[in-house]
Amino acid sequence: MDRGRKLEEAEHHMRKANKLWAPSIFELRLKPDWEGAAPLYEKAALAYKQAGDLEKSRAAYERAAMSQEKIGSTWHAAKHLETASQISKDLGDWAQVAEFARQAASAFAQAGRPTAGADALSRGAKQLEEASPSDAHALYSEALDMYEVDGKEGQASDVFRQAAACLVRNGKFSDAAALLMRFGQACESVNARSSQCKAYLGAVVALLYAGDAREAWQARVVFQDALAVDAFSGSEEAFAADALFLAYAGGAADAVRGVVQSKAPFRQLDTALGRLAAKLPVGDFEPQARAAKDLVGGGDGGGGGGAGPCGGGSDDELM
Amino acid sequence: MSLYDVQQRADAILQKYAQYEPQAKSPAPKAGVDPFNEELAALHAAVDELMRQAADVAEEKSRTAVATKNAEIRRSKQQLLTDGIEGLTKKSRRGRGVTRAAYEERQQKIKELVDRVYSVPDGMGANRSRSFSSKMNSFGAASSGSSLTLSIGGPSGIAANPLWHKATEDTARFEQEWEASRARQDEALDRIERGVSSLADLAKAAGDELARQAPVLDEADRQTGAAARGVRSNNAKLRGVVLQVRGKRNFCIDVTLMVILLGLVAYLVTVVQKWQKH
Repeated sequence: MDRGRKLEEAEHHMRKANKLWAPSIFELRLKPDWEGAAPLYEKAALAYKQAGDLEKSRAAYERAAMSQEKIGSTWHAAKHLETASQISKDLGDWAQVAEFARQAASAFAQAGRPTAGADALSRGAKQLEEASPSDAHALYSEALDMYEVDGKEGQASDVFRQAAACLVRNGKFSDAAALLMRFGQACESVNARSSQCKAYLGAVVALLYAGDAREAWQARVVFQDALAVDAFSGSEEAFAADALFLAYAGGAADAVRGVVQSKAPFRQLDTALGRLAAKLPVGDFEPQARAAKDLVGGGDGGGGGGAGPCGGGSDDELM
Repeated sequence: MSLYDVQQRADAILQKYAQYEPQAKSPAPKAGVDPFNEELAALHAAVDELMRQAADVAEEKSRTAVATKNAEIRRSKQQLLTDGIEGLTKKSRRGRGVTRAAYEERQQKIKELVDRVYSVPDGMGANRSRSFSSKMNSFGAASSGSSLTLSIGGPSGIAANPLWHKATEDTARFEQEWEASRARQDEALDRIERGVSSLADLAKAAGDELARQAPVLDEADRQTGAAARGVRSNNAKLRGVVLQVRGKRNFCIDVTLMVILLGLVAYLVTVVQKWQKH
């Protein structure tokens, strides 16, 4: 009856803590005793969790967090809120997972640790990926915003990758491409050139995987924007992307597959994007090929003249 | 053992056995007496040597050896025809007592020498175009055999002969072997390229990670520095406080007060004892 004993212990701590919360004339206490209540709530929460009563454990963690906040120890409050978020995930209460993650993040920010808050949001988002992808994406965006506000977006590469993989798995290719461009910009701040180039190539691949002419056009535009970055313009990834566009413009699906298999940068992309690249081309190939041909052959001469990959990988007319 | 050591040792050995070297050749004839005839004699001797080599080739059984030696003979012939005859032509005008008739005679001798060179059998057959006569017509304009000449009209000289490009069994088999080994090498190089590109990718990822962690370490360094400064200043303040507490004046005051307190307690105890007695 270990579980029974744990429950009793938990109830006992809970009662004592609740009493400390209430002002009492007997003990000459006009305000609640936050400092005394906090450790009791923590013990109660742990005991409930070990006993398996997750709902009460979560409630106890919430109260512990509130007590810590009143004491002024926002860091500990944030840790408790994060634990409550994890318990919500075990309970399957997805809305609460997001809510607690946000509260934990704001508590971390108040404690002067916004990076830790962003980490908490990203952990919450990871837990929501399967159940509620839209919430997960929202949490990822908030986490990335917090990193940017703190100026630490260069350290957020794991979050960027997870967010991009989540978007790609849910079919949101334009959003994934936009996120990857943002990732490229974040890498610029810490001179992480290899990750930057891979991010830009990944954006191009994601848009091409969308499988229609408009997205293919968008992919070429994104590629040209990326070429303005010095680190990308002479890189192997840029040559690989250019070869891919030429293969599309050539009008043969086998050529596209050949380029993806022969060029090393496609193998070196992140797993989710690498899988996309291996499946190219998708959708109706003809309109995409036409769009690529228009862009690569005609309208690209002026735009690509100054910013084509160094070494002239494409057959554009260079001024 | 380094190359230098090998060289030194070889020199030492040669010096040791120099006495056994063959005697030096007979002294060269005085230059300037008759350069043309000397040169002519030397070239005739070279042609004799080539004739002897051609005779050896005729007796050779192995076809590859025959091919190699024929190629060598052809090369020597070409060299004689270009460098040798050119030098001879230049010298035909020099020398003492060279009259017009002597000059004509010398030209004839040179023609004979050329015919003799052409007559050396080299496995190519007799239908060779004699392009050398055109060179004889322009003194000093003959091109040197060692420099490269580009002719627009197609190959000339030895290469104009169609038999030059004909494939034999040996050459065809050699070409096949070469193609096969090239394909194997290409395959191996592709595998190496894949491995090297994976290594490059890993190295770049490691570099990116280091670049990312550098500001984190700088921040940690800065914060530990601030914390250390705070601890040092707290220590100094604490030391001041402790010294103050341990100061002599305070200690005396503490002792005096303690004594007074004890005195009071003792007085109270005696008063209570007296009261109890009564």
